[in-house]
Amino acid sequence: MIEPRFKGEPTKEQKMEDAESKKCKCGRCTRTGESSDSSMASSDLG
Amino acid sequence: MDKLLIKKIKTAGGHYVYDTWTNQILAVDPAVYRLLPDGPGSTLAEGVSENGEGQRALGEILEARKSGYFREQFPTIASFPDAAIDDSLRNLMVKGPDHLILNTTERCNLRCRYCSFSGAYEGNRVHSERVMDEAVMRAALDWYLGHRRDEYSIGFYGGEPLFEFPLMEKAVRHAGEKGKRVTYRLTTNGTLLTEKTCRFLVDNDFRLMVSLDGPRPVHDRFRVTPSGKGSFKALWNGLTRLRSMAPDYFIRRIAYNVVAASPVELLKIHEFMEEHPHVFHDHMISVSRVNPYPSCLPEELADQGRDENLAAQRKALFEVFRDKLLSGAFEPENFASALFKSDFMDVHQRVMSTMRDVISSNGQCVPGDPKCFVSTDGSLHMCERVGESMPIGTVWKGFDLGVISDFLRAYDKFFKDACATCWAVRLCHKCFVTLRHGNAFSHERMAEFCRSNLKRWGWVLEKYCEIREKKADSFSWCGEPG
Repeated sequence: MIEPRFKGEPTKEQKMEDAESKKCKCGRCTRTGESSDSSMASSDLG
Repeated sequence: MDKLLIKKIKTAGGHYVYDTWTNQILAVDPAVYRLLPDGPGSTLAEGVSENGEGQRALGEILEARKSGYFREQFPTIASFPDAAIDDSLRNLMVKGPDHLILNTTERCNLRCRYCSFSGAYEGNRVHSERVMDEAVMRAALDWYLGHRRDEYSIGFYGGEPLFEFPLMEKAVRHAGEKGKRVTYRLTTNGTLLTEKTCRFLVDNDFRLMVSLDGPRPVHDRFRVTPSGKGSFKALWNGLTRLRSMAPDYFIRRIAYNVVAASPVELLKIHEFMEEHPHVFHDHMISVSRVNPYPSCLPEELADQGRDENLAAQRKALFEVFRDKLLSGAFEPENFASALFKSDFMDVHQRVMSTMRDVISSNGQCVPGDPKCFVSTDGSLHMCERVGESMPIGTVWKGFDLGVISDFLRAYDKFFKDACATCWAVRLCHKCFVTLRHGNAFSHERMAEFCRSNLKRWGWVLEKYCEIREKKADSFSWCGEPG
C-alpha cells in the first residue's frame, strides 16, 4: 500500500508564496537581511 | 517511466519516495521501492514481467498514479516570463527595496585572510580608503525614503562601518527627519564597539550582524589586523560592553555570522558557544564556508577537501540537533540548531500542493528587491555579495530597468532546461551569487552546485524521515504558532 507520510506544515505565508513563486531567501535567513547564505551551512559541510 | 520526478529514500525503519509533483513523502514497501527508478531517464527495474511480486508492485504504482502520484511529466520552467518581469518592475518602482544597504566605507581595521575584499576574488573590489560622500548618503536616503511603503530598512556595510561612525550618525539623523518608520542594521566585525558607538546602536535599536568565527584560537587564525594580530579580544570586549549596557537589547538584536574556514573546527565553535550561553543561545547564527571559486585564495583556505575530520564533526553536531528534536525540547537554539535547522524547516514547511505545469526555478531575487546595495560612489547593486561590476542604477537616477530586465531574462534562459528534469526543483534555491563567474552565469558552477545540492537534499530527506519515524511531531516547533 502506497500512502503519504510525514506531511509538511507550511505557514500561511508560505502557502501564499507558493501561489506566486519562491524567490530570494536572504530576508528569511537573517534578521539583518545582510548575512551570507545560512543554508550553505548544512549543505556542503562534508 | 522515463519522466518521473522522484527521490527514493531508505531508512533503517522504512522505504519512502519523495514525489516532486505532489511534494508528498510516500511510504512504500520494499518491492515498490526496488521497482521504482532512481532518477529521470531511468526505466522500471527489469524483471517486473516475470516476477509476481514485481507485478503486484507495478499494480500499486499504477493505482497510486490515479491519485496523482508518480506523474510521468516534466514541468516547464519559466522563472521570469515577460509578464512577471513587468509586474516585478512596476512593484519595484513603487515600493523600492525592503532593505537598503549603504556601503559607507571601504576602509577596514582588519585584513581577514578569506575576506571577499582581500583581492583574491575576481571582480570584487579590494580594501581601499574610499568613503561614501555625505551627499551620496543623503541622495541614497532621499531616493529610498521617497518610495511608498510602510516600513523601511537601512543597513550599514563596509569595510567596517563603525570606522565612519560620524557618517552613520548623520545618516540616522537624516532618515529620522523624514518621519518614516525605519529599522537600522549594521554588519560589523565588532572591534569598534565603544561606549559611544554602543549607546548609539542601542538608542536607535540597531540589528547587528557580528562576524565571529569561534573561540579565540579559531577566530584569530584568519580574522586579523593588517599587522597580523588577532581581533578576538577587541571583539569580545565590545560584545561584553554592549551586553552590560543593554542586556535586553543584546538578546533581541544581536546575530552572528561564522565563517567556517579550513581546517573547520565545528566542535570547538559549538563548545565555545555552549560555554557562553548568555552570548549565543537563541541568537541567530549563520554559518558559511569560504567561497573557493573563482578566487586565488591561498590553497589551504580554498581547498575544502582537506578537512578530513569534517564529516565526523558534522555527524556529532547533527546528533546534538537530532537529540534535541527527539527530546521535544528544541529551545534554546544553539550552534547545532543553526547548522541544520534551515534545511529541515524547508522540508517540513513544504507546501502540500500539486506543482503547477509551469513553475519557476527558485531563489533569484529581482535585482533591487528585496535588497539594494549602494556603493560608496552612489551606484546601485543587487546585493552586497555580487561585487560592484554590474550596477543596476544610481542613487540620482534610480533603477535602470533595462539592465534589470535583461538580467532576469538571462536567469530565465539559464535555468530553463536543467531544472525541469530535477526531482529537487521544489526544494532547491540558488541565485546569481551562487552561480556567477564574473558577470555571467557559469555552467561549471551550476554543475558543482547541482551535484552538491542533490546530495544535500537527499540527505536531509533521509534524516527527516528517520527523525519523524521516531517522533512524528519532532518539527512542531516550526509549524504555525498558536
